[in-house]
Amino acid sequence: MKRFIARTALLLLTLPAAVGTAQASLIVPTEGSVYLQPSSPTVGTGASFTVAVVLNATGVGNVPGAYDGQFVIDFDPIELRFDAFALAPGVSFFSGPATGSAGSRQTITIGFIDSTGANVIDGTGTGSIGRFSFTALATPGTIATIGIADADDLFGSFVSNAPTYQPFYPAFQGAQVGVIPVPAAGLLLASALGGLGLRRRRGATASA
Amino acid sequence: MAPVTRRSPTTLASIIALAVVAWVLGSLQPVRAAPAAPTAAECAQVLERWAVDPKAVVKSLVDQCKTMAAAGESFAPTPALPAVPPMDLAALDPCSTGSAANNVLCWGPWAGLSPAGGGAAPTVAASELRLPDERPELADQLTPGVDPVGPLVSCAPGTPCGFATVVAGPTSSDAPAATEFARIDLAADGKSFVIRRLDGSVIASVPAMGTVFLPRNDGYDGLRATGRTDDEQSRLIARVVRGDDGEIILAADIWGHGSRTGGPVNSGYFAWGVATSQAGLDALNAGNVSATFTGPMSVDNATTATMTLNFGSNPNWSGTWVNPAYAFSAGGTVTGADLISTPGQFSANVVAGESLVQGALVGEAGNRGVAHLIDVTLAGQGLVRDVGLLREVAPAGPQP
Repeated sequence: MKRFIARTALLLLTLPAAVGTAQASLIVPTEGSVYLQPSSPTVGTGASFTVAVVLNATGVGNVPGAYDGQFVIDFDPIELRFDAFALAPGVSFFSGPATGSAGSRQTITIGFIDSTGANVIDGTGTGSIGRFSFTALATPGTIATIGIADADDLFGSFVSNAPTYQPFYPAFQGAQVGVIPVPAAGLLLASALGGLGLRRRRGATASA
Repeated sequence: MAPVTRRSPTTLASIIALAVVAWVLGSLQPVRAAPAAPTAAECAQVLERWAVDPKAVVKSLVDQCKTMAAAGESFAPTPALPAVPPMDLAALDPCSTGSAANNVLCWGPWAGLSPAGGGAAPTVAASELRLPDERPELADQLTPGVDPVGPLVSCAPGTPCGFATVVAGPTSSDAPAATEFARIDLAADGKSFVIRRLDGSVIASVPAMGTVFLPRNDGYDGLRATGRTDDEQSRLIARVVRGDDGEIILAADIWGHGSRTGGPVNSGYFAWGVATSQAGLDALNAGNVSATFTGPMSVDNATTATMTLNFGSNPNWSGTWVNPAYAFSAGGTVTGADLISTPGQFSANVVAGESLVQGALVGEAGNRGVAHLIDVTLAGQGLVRDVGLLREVAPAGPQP
């Protein structure tokens, strides 16, 4: 028991900063960023969680503004199961979600547009493109990584689309999620209940 | 026998002393200045006389003159030149007068000048063509009464016509000096394009790019076209206007094509349309229509351009380009569907001799536009190169 708690605490304390396993790109990021934001840094085996795709257009020029692009994420299908992708309000698909593979990793490619004047990017310079839903399949102690990159590694696909189309080249940052066995509080509760039950049995035996 | 007279030793010594003094004094005579070297004219006479009669001149003088001749002195007399009256430049060269800007013989030639119906593509960059004296061999093509066109070949009515920037690399942007202009041909379905550069080379997209049309809320549709072969990739991201049959009739913004395996990659911006038909042009001219077009440029979409085309018996145009960092105006002539600037109509902040606006009226009534390029040098700003597609605003005159 103590070992489980200690291992979980150690995992939480040592969870490193998320670094995506992005594909190599010929474009040097110059402005803005696209990053993955998990709903929680840890998740239990078998539990579901979400990962938001966030566009930060700071430095791009149009804030608030409308943006289009196509990105690809990759993950280990042994560790995570892709369940769905939900677009943010005002955002539409122009391609995908399309599944594929890159070596042992599964990929999902999505093209999005924000051409309805909804301005995904608000006055803060950031906006959500959408949200992935995953189920954790990995064994406890696994750190599952999710990479993200521009789907066009030659020209780059991201554009500011108003008043004209103009390309921009954001930095991409993926995420990591730590898989833990069962929540620690549940273990403690289970052990406490088990102790109470044992005490009752001993008391009943003594009185008998 | 006569007695011998003997001098005393003292007297003899005096005589010797006096002789010595006399000798010394004689040796101290002032040094005579060496005779001055003869002048070139004098040597000419000396040598001439010596040639006729060697004994008629002093040998030392002859030797001096010979030494001077060997050292490179010239003794040939220079004949006096007759006075040259000042040239009447105005009679010889009309471009030397203040009216040069209005003389069709004075601001060409353009490499793009070619017989109607096309010709060989120009072979030099636009910037090299704007100084008339750099391409004198093309001057024969310039005849009175023919309005020159820009460095890119003219747009025949009813035919596709587009202007593009070309830069090295995939980002579509580079410094103005590293940006060149070219013609772009776009397939009506958006699945392919061809860039025709001023040096005659061609950049052709991969065939049959995949296309998807996207909604926009500004009167355009969006087009994303991408294609990839084993080692080449092309892409187009553009605002487009489509006709009832779905064919693209106006388009602008981003193009790119290049190698995925280390070869060249080029990209840029473009403005394209189908040049207004001859019937459409005839109707505009017959109706003396004045039409205004406006829109953002593509390379720098902070620049808003507005152009007014005045049709009739003497079609002409005027325009302004306004950017947060600069502004300028221009004007020029309309020939068929072609627009070309006149140097004398640039605003004062434009270096007229180094600047150009070229474009074409594209589309038909209801979907007309102006596709054009600007290649201007602005005082205090420097070189500006851009392309833009402008859309017609509310008509100001009777419409055909």
